[in-house]
Amino acid sequence: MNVVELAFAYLRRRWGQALLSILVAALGVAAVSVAFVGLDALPDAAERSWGGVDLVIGPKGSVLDLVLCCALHISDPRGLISEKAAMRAASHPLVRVAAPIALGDNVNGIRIMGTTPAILSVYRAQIASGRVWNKPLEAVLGAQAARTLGFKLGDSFIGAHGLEPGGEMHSQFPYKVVGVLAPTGSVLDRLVLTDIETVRYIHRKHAEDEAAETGVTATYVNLPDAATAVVASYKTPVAALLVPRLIEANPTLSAATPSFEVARVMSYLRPLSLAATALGILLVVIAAAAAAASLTATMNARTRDLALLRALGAGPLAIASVAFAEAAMIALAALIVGLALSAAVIAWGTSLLAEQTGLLLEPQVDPESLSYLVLGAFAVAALAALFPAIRAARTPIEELLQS
Amino acid sequence: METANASNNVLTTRNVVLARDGNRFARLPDLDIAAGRSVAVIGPSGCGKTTALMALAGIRAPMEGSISVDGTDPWALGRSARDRFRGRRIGLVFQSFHLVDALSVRANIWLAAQCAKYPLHEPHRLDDLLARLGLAPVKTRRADRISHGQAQRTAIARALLNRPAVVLADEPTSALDDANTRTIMALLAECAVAERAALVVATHDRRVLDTVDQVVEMEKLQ
Repeated sequence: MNVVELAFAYLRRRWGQALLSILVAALGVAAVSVAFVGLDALPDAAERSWGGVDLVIGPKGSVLDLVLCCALHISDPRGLISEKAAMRAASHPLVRVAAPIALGDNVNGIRIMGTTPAILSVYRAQIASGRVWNKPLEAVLGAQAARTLGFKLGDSFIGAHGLEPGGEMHSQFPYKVVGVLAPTGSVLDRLVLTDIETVRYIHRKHAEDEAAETGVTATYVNLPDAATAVVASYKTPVAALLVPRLIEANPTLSAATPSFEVARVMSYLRPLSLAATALGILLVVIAAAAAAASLTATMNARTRDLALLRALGAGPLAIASVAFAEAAMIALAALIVGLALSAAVIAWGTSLLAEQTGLLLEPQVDPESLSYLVLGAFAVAALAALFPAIRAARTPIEELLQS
Repeated sequence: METANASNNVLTTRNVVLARDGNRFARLPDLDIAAGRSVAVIGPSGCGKTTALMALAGIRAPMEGSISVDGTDPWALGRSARDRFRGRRIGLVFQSFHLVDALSVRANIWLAAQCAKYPLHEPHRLDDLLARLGLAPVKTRRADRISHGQAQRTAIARALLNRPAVVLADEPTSALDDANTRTIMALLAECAVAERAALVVATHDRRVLDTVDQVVEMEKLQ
């Protein structure tokens, strides 16, 4: 007996019920798959983004804010520090290289980061064309920033105040593009780099203008070596156990380790991942229960057909396999639809995350997780079909001749 | 169970007694049917005709007696072997045809070979049957979308596909008018002759009697 053909014919006959079972199960598969793939890809995306930054030194306050602002470049700065004090704190034998950064301006939404050429060593970045800045108002573009802005070597641009587009233009300070970096895969690709003194000067002027209007003197005026943070790269991972503690002892500085902070955030997100997985499994179980009820009902309605198959010589196993084949087809369709749905959700989430935060998810399909998902779906389908299959296998032929 | 003498006959029965609720209730007269010959088993409703067909088909065991189909006693076989034997050597035509509505006419007929795992060595067997029974134009149509007559012919084609030794038909003419009764019986008899199969028709319909070679009447034991 061609079980597949018969099972498919039966499914087609009750396509409405079958479609409902497939959709509910597909939602479950998609939820589990997104939880497996999407949330697992987040820490990797963050790690790629912070690149070679092992340590961020900033003002006292939330270390998570410090990582989000100065390692991942997602949030706004919370205050300023003295570059000298922070660089002195970073000058530890276990620190390979450190560079100060100053944030506060943007060009078309892309952050302008004042820093020193040592930043290239922190991120292990290289100049792809042109050269490193060596004068005020010279800028080097990250690879992606160059593509997005469409600037070439020698082009000029005006920065705007703040980290979001739409701020006041610093028209009297035009930048000149003198270099473009090779892609690093890190956040550096999405930044515009310039001399830290340039940023300080522009902000000092801006603060003085504001002070003249409002009478309030900003930190940039009072702190000649103001910086948003200092980022550093270690010589050895062991430094992560020692250096931050030494810096935390400083009454004005905080030390944040991106890997620790992201791991902490992910530990907060873990229940979300578990909830998504649980919801997915629940949906798959509901779909299986619906499919089982539907199969049982249709097997009852199909007693005559099944008795006929037995009368024509099909064994009980072959009869039972019709129910299994129907459930397996529902599972297969749910897997295909569910995985396609999860791919679409992950693609949408990846694009949204990149747009909102600059984090580039690179979801990897883990063959082991995928095989568990496939095996799980078919196992649930087999369970759903078990009772209807047993009923079908026990269909007495006599009923056929007596009906 | 004693095996009947099956020489020259494709269906032979001896002293077959049928049971209902554990009690002897009917006896099938002894049959010796050669290939291409037809027999009507008659009797009023409830006399055991259908139960007799079940015994011949290896579906419900008789209380006593022996049955030989093409030299084999189906009741001497194990359950799976008996199911397979029935599928291959016995063609069944049911009162209400019992087609699978979800399948096409062609797939319904093909089921007979598939269920019995019958090695159909003749590549054109199915198409020949479809053509001979006038079903070719509707072969891809679903079974619930064909006429009553087409459904009858589909059921007959399915019963004949595996070249059975015996065709058992249960009340094939009930609820049919005279013209259709003549048509269906002529078709069954013609097919039995053409396929060299013995035809056994269980019926209470007296109109069938002059269309078969032999008539036997069920004996009630209670």
